[in-house]
Amino acid sequence: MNKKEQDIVQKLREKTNDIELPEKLAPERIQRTLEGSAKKRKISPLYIGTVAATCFAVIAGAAVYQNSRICGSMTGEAKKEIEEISSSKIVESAENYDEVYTYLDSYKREIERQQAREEKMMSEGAADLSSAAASTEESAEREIAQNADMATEDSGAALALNAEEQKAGDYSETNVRQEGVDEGDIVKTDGTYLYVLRDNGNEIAVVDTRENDMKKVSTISVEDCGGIWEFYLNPEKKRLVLICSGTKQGLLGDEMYRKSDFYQDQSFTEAITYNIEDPEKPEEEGRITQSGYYQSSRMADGYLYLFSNYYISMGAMERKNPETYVPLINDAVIAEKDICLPPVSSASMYTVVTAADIDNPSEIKDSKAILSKDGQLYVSGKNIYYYETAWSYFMSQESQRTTLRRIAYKDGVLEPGAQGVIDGYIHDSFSIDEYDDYLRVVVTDGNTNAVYVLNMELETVGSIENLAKDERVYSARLMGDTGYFVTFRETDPLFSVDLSNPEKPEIIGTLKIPGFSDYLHPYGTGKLLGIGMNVDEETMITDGVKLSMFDISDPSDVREEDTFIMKNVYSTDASYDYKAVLADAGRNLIGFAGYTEGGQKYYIFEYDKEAGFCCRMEEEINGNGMQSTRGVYIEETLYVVQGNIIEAYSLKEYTKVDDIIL
Amino acid sequence: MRCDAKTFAEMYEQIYTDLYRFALCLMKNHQEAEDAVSEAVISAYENIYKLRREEAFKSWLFTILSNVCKKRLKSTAKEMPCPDEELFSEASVHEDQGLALDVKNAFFILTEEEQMIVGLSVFGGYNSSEIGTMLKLNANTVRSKRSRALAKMECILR
Repeated sequence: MNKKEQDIVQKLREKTNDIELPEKLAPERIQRTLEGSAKKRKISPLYIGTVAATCFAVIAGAAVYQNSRICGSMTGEAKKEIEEISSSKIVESAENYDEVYTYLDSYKREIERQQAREEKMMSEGAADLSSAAASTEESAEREIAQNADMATEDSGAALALNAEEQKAGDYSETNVRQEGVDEGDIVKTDGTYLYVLRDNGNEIAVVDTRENDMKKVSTISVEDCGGIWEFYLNPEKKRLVLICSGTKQGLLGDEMYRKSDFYQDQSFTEAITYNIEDPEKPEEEGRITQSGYYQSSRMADGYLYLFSNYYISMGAMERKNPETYVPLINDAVIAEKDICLPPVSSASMYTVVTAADIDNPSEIKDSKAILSKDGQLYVSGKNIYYYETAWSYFMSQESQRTTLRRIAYKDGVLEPGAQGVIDGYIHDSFSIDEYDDYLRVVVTDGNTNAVYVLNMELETVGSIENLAKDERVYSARLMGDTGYFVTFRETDPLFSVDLSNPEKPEIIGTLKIPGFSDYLHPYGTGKLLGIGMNVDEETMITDGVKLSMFDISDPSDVREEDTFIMKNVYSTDASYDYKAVLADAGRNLIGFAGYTEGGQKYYIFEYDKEAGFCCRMEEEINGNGMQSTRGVYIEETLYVVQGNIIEAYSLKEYTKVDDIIL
Repeated sequence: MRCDAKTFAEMYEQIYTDLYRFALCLMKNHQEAEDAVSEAVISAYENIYKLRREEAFKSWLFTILSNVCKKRLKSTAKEMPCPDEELFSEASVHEDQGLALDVKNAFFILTEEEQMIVGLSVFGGYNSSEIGTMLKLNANTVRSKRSRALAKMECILR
């Protein structure tokens, strides 16, 4: 902004300075309103509970050139936005930086041309863009809403076909999406010590739990790391890996930077590995770093896979300087051949993935920079699937196409593989699952739903389309040869799909029940646990958390064996954070935190075929932090962790035995 | 992030004056502005778990509020067959609570998008890249539109 413009802005500020604020908006009033509103939600089948919440992954102001909106013609007729999707069957790698630059530059020019067109329209007096813009704007709004819907952390859970086979271990592990692939969390245990991310986000507290007498024995704190997001614990190798992410210090508050429109994304993600052979004296072993904000991570066979999102600032690109448009790993520009070119023409960011051996934690074993528009990921036991959705709108009909890219991984080596495309969008990573060299996907496409089966070349080999019109997928669980998914409108149809013949997937059952489940978890042989909400069928208002136990011993005749409605509980973290769920069929234990009028409470349920759900414990949670509550057990003790408070309960008497403030 | 009504209200307290002023300049009517802020706040609260970092709270709420205003303006426009004239005459007749007439008129002559851009600059204190991210526009577009909008407003502001 030039001086004159700044003066006008200043003038506007001064002239609005004395505006009286309505009493209704006073913070105390708002607090009371919110306390009341959280208890009941009005459910609309397609766009649930979201006006337009967009999740700001990178806030610092990266120049994100996204969603090139092509306005309608001068007559105001809505024009179909067509995004070219590459027909390439493989993930293509860049040959040199120049190729990447040329790609980005051509997208930048396209944006500029479009801008020029818009400006021309404006200057020719076609000021009424409203009808043309209305559809695009509306769709942009929806896209935001949908993206927000999907923005919840990807992926989900152990594919325990037969949970009885899972031994009732001595201690609980993080509830993960894919069996055998670990995920970071905020609380972990090795059976003796609890490791807890403190609420300040900068420290891990190590707590000795022996003799039911919790003692804090050490603290791992890191400085200049931007903040700890999650961590891993590897008890065999005696390693703890912190995942940190932030923006380089000194820049954020800097005036020059604030004013600069040619700001370059300064965010970074770091993995810091500690040796915890002596948990009382953790020692740093090494760290790796990469550009971009933390997106997600996995750990398999002693290798860490770290994902971050790096936004390109198109204004700052210089052809001769790859560091202005290519992310860094361990402070060096990522190699040309490791850049995966996008299937679409409007990519403006990278998802950077690096792999590191935790025995050699300063070295990046392999890396890839996936150039994209913004995608999500699902990690199977062998492959990373990166998927992104292109949205288009025509005559107020919306449709989506999702491109998928597969990158195989093994022992820290990343191997780009196939690329493919399907119609529709993927609700969350429980809706996408690899099994026996086939990828099965449940999608919502416009106002219908579909199931696709793809081979490892990501070619569709089987499909079921036009399912559940005017509904959308709420949750899914694909377990070996059978898949289950829930769509919702007024009642909750639970679909069972036979996936045993990849070329002929078949719907073999539907069960309609009131309410919906937004989290599904296999619970022992022939049982599927659903956690969701009960919905009053007349008013369509949620009136409490609902637990369902489905008998799936005959997938073509699924029955709801028992339900339990918690009238006084208006939501649970399970709906959006699967890591907050403690479910262990071997021990017959279902644990989660629920929100009640009296605050947050932790619940433990047991399930019996005859007696149904039985609530064994309902205890107030006294901690108060930014993250959702975790319940972990070690032998016969349950630890409920919230904020900086750990409360311990006996799993025999369900009475409180200890607590500690970290 | 996880957050109860009290924590939310504390974060809200830091920014609500700017939120309301932003809404008032866009909606031009105190009742409408109040409703827009309420709607945005409830929506934000219901979706707070999708927000991962407290630092992003302000931009997040401003983005939601812009969308709420956009939606509400669209439905208002549908109700009035000749929106511009009607609004103009209404504006000159009613002296609205708090908003100086010249400021109100200065916003009136802008397109909806320009109003958003100026509003986010003035009340949010955001630069063109940040506004670009929020409104899904590119930073250069934001800059040129802002510059044109401010020039128009200058003629009206006293």
